[in-house]
Amino acid sequence: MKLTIILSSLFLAISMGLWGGFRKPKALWWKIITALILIFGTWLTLYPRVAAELEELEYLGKYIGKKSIPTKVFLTDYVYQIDPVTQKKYVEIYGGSNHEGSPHKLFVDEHNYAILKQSTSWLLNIWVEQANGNLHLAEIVEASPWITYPYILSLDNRIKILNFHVPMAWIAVLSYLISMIYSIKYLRNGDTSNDVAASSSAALGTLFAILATVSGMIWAKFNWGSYWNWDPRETSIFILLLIYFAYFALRAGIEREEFRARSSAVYSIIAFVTVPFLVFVMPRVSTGLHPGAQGDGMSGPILNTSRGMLDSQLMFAYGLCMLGFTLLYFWMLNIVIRTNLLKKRVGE
Amino acid sequence: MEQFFHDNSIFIVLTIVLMILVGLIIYTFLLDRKVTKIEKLIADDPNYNLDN
Repeated sequence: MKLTIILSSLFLAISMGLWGGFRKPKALWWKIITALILIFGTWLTLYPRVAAELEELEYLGKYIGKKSIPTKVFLTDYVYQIDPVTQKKYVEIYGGSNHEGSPHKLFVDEHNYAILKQSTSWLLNIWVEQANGNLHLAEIVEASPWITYPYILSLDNRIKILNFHVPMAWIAVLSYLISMIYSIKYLRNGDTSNDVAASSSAALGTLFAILATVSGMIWAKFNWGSYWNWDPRETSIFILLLIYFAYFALRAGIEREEFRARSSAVYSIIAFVTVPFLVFVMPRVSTGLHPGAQGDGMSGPILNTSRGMLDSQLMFAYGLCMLGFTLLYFWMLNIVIRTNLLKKRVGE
Repeated sequence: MEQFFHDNSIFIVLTIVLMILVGLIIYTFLLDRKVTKIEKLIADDPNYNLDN
């Protein structure tokens, strides 16, 4: 399911992006669809809350300590009784909508019980007592939550950066690939418009690589404690940025147009050879902090297939963001190429 | 006020992000229209002076 969503969003993004080419304005319907996908994907990423399953609470409680955990629970017959051991009042809650398994006791006061009686499905912040595993209501968050995302230990709501950070990095790789393809085309036929397309795509690739780095840095500050940790993933993106900064330095340093186009085309092809190694291989074979690094015990949230890592709902929002941001990139590329071709024409 | 920000933090983040995104999309729309206009001007009259 996960692989189908990822692959279909990639296929749809590339085929829709290439539709109409890069040198003609995109159709109005294309732009409207792109805008709608982007807005809907962003909304679908940010609006739903993360929630743990009731069965996970005992395991999560050991690590969370006194902090409460957002949890999705269900109530059936609103049993409200006094616990014989603690002499506190509790309500029976279930973990699944079909009330499978035995009920759990959730200790609540009468005021909150009166609120809980108003619905069968709730998103509650629950605190797990370390000594005996008793569940206590910390806060009522939402009644009948429409959609929730999985609660991943140590990530919490920060999992949502996945839908912005990963598409940025993916677009950087895609644009460097397109830059290389146009560089090869230029070397084959000498058409300077291919050189314009190659440099425009490399510029956008660098912009998106910087955005991926900045979004990753902000996430790292809250997850790892500092903005920059020289993690293999951070080091590899830094090297990649340096390689492409040198590409622009090379272009700026040569005045003769044909020589500039030819040398930068050769450089772009060689530079792209490093991209798969720096983005996909090096961060996975080295030990590091980034999800998916060697020793992390999993292949990263996108490729990992274990249950509870990323559910199909979050994956759907991820697919939409991937599609939306890739289409935005193709739209931006279309405008940048046309503007640079105009500049060139006016310059002549 | 502080309680309001605490209770509605997700909606505040959502509103700000959507405002930025809509702004970016409108800007791209306008830029695209401007480039199309210049392309048309140059296609109609190759000697058209853009400084006019």
